[in-house]
Amino acid sequence: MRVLELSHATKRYGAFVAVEDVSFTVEKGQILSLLGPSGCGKTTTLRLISGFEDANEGAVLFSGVDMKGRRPYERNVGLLFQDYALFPHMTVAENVSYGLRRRNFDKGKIPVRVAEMLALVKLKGFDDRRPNQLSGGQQQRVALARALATNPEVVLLDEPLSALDAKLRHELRFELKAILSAVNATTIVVTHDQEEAMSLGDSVIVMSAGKIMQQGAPTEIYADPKTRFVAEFIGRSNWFTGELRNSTNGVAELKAAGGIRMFVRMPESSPNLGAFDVCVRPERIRIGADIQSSGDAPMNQMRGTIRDVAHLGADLHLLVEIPGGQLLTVTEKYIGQSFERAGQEVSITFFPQDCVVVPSGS
Amino acid sequence: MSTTKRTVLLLLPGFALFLAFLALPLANVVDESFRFFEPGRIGSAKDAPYTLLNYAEILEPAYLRYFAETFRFGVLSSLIAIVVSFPIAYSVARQRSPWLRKLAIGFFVGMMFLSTLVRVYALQLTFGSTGYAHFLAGVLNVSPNSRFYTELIVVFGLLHYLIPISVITLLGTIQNLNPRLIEASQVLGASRLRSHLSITLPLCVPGLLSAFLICFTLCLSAFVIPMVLGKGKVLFVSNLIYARFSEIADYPSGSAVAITMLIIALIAIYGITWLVAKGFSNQDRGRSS
Repeated sequence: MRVLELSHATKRYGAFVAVEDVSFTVEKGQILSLLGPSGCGKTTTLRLISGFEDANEGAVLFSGVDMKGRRPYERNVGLLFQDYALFPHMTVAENVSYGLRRRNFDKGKIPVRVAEMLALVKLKGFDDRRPNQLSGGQQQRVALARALATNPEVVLLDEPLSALDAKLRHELRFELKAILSAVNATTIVVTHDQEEAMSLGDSVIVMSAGKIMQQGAPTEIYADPKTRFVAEFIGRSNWFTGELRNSTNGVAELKAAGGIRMFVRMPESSPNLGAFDVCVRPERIRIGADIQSSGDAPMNQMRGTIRDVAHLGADLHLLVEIPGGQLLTVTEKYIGQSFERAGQEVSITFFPQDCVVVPSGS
Repeated sequence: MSTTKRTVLLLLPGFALFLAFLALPLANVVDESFRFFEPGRIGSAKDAPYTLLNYAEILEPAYLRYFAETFRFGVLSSLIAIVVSFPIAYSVARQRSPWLRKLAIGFFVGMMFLSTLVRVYALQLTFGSTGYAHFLAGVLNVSPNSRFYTELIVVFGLLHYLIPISVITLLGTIQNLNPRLIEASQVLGASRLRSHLSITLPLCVPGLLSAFLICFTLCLSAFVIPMVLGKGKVLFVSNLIYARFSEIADYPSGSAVAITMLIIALIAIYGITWLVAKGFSNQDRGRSS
């Protein structure tokens, strides 16, 4: 069931276009992440859905009903604010029941519903506490319970984890997902943090300058970015720029600066040869391994010199200089291998299918 | 030298100044208020006997009227001032254009620099027989010389003085209020009015209280406004004190009135603060049960 639909929504502030021709749909129980740098229009999109702003063009539909002109209190949206925005003069129970009281929920059933919500977010017995007596993580749970209490059609999470410290963020990520799926909430997560977007979302939309750049499953966005912007925004990448030629069997040859020749996967959508950027993810590059190319499948292999090594616990990050002077970032799982910090000669290899071709300068 | 000693030394000049020019003169007034006054003299005699007569006098209806009048105008004008100032302060605090916000704040700060005498005569001209606001008497169907019309002008005079100050006091309170709270309330189904009533207002009570107390204190000590705009019909305790001191040179009586006023004002201010604080904690308990 299609719970939320944005259809060609455009929002302008004077001459500034905050959101331009944005369309997407969210199904019941689905989690959609809106990802982008600050000023990309994701927060305006959130305000269009919650009703604080009305679109200049296009429409916001809840289960097929146009929400045009409906104020936030005339829609049924659950909104989790980045700073939680708990009412400081009310107890936890009063905060959670606020929406129920305002929406004329059956008075006798309010305490039951509040207890249910507090149990859901694992805050049983916190009813009479004040927001300022709670930790950041607990405050967020109260805010989530408050947002979900009225059984909203759409739940909007604004940077839900960014106010928490790294360790708590890790724990809460899975819990948040479990809570949302327990109530089968149709959710939109707005964030600038790619980890947050990819870990929470069933589907991710990358936005830039008010426009949707790409939409897809997290793995698809990561493995198959359609533009240089998306590839750079999500994860780390090494870039080669050059001319494509000799496309055969879905593999083309790239002649890049510094005399580098490599085989790349030919994108389905842009068969024209010419100038392209090629992205290789750091973890797709292998160091020192002599991978035999099977049959005629081409393989990229070059010599390189290690310039720096950083141990990050589970991972090793290496900086490798290749002929022509370009520095590549390479990530390896740490399994006891040892590299010299600088100067060691290594061979590096990577598969053509791990070379993602995007239009130059996109 | 230890830090404590140094702190004490640094405080000493201020403390000496306070003692010499604030505390001792006040003690002088207290002493004077208990002295016997011989009509015709200027102030009490050097070795005049102590008496409670000056305080007993205050209980007479003629004197009590001044107190009642001062408090009536003080409470009324302060209430009107905060009711009028709150929406103004809110719109200034939430003004999106920084240029307009600065302009508005500058205007209210500038208003505070205006001499009371200038305000008073400006209002007298406005409400006087040639002023544009003269029609008000006609609209209200009262004589421009009636007591009601005079009282009205005094209230306007006080408001002219109180509104800029209470706007600036409330501005801080509202600026400290997280605007997301109102948005959270609206998303949870409360209309804008309802959100202001259940979120903005309760959270602004401390600010409203201090604005009210500042206004109230300023009203109690108002002197020029009732003197000029009150035309002798509206007189505050300050005017009474002035009359006792300057017109008949009865310093002991003037001092007694001043001390009584000070004590009543302190009791009123502490009383109001205590009542509001108590009301607040009761309300909280009521809600959580």
